[in-house]
Amino acid sequence: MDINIDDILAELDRDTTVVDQSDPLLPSDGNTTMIDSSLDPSRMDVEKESPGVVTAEADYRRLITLWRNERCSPELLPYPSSLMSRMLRRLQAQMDNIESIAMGFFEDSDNHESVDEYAAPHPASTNNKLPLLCMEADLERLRFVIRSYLRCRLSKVDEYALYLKQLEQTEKEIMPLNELLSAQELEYHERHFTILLKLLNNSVLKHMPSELQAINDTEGSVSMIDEPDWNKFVFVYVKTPSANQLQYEPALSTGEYGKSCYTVNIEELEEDVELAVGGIYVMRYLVIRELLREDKIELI
Amino acid sequence: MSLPDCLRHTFSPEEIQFIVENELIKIFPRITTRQNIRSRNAGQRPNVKCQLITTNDHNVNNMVAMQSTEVALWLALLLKQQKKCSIVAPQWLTIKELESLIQFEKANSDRFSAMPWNWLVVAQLLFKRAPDDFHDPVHALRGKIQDLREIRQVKVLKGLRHLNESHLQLDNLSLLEINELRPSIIGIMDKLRQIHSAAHASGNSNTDDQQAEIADY
Amino acid sequence: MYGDLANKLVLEAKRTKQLNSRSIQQSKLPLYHEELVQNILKEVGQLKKNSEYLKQHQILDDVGGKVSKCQYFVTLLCMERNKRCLLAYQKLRTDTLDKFAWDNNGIDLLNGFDDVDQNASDLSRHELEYVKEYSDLITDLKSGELANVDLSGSLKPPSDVFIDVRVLKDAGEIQTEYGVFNLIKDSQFFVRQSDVERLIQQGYLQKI
Repeated sequence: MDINIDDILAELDRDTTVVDQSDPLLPSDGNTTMIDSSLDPSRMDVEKESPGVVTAEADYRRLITLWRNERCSPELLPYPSSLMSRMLRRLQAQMDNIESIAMGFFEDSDNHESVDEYAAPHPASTNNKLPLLCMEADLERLRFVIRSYLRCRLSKVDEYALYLKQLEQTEKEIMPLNELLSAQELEYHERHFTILLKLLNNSVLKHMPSELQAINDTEGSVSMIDEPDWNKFVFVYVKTPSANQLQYEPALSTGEYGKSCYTVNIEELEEDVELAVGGIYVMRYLVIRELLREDKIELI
Repeated sequence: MSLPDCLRHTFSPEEIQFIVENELIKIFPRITTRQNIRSRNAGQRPNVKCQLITTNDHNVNNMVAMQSTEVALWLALLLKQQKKCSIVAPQWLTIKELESLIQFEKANSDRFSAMPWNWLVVAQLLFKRAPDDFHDPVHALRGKIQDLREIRQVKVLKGLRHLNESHLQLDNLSLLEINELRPSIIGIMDKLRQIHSAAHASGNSNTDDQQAEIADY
Repeated sequence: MYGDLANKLVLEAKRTKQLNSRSIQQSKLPLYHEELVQNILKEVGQLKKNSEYLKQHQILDDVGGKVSKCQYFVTLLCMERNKRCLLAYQKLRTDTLDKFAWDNNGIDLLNGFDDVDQNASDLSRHELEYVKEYSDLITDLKSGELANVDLSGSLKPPSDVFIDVRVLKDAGEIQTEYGVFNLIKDSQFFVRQSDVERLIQQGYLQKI
């Protein structure tokens, strides 16, 4: 069996290209480590926590989880800024990469190959173009998830526009608004709210008696500020912690069937419920909110 | 709204399929993509490597014809479409296995058999996109899958009467099944919760005795 | 009776919502009820006057205190109810306008393109202004750091990245990474779906 050093070298090539194409303005976030560790796969596992060495695959999986959580949760969840900036950088690098490979094919067909291929571009027509076909499909998948995720977040920014405004003013949440939302989302929130308020003012509010002109009145018979429905039922999957985590997990106890469980309390009903690892439950969102923040469960 | 209404509280079937397509599946490649030093030295231009950003691309770049390997399902389907591989159906997707699962479902009226979380989608996808890769006849497999699905649906419907305002445990239900049930289960449980809180808030002044009384009911 | 007009408005909004949620096609807004809205606003003005009168009355005469207090309270509730109905009506329409803007029809609508079902004259002056401003906001959002994501692109997961298409009407040349395509009626191409999505939406191309 041949030891395939070429593959390792090719991997190395690839990582450096990614680095080259990344934004030079960004602070060094361990890109150098990335090159080092790709030579020594054993180190990758050890350093999984530091942002520079996370594999593209792991990042994508995380994004899928966040996308699904966001879609299922009644509230807007915190914006994963470092994950998203890695994703956007990777997207750009890959688009450039694909473009340069595709250009390569053009030059080839111009110079050497038959004319008909040029006349009827058919990316799947040769074996050699198969990788490109896969890369395009792969790219489209990433773009879709990012798009769907951000659009979902924007719809929540709209739905809870007033509530978020109120958060900004009272700061009753531990998380400041500029960590909950990305810079673009903050701007979107501000601008959309402004034009919406302008419309409502022009068509309704400014014609009302002065005491009824507010958009965020909470004194009337019905509060005008919509809050997320904190007790909405959601489907949760209880993640299995790795053997390592299992040892140091204070929240886990051994349940009645000998399975590891998290115990949660439904306040309104004064009821304790055990969530067994690996199980699927329908629970009130507020009850499992902490576990979600700590990444011990996923919404499905 | 920046997200259509129909996507606001659940996933579309296409999205469920998309999620499932990220999982790995075993294939038999018909082509070799592994490149060795000899071919490079012989002056041939190296093939373009497939560099992926959503999944590990090691296996797809090291395929050897007729040596099984694992790739993401979407990639397997793409290779299949291009006639570059055949897909190995998972263990449970055989007449024999499905029959024993159906037996289990029939024997245990109060629980679901431990199907993989993506069984329904994988079965549907492979029937459609790789029907020639099965040992068993596809129409028979399709029938078994349909039987299994119906038995489980009946169980779920029976279980609906036990819905309450507290919580529900649904182990072994697959993603597609959950997604289909989501609107009704969430809708009913949210309503029960509201009725419960309303009854609680208006019916008594929250003294401990009265709460205990209600709990006894 | 006070509140009847507002009720009419809300019922109309509800009907629009149901129609739009039932149809698979694009949402559509009926004509903006300018007159009804104005009449409700007038009613609010009248209620306001009543409430002021009742307030005076209460101070002068505290014998019938309970009755006039009740009257006063109901008047306030009617005003608040009218306000909520007006806002709900406008908000429902705004949500639909947002959808137009995301589907890129906002711009088409403003430019009077005929491939939009919605009639621009069904919108109020302020609504038209709003659509324009919101479309601008989306354009800005799309062109910044998120340019590569194509935020207003399809929300259906990609199934086949490359597809066969048939040209339904001449659309000239398009440039893609895989070369230049001359889109002449009835010809067929194997293209990247994302390159031609807009052309499919506009009816130039058809997926085979």
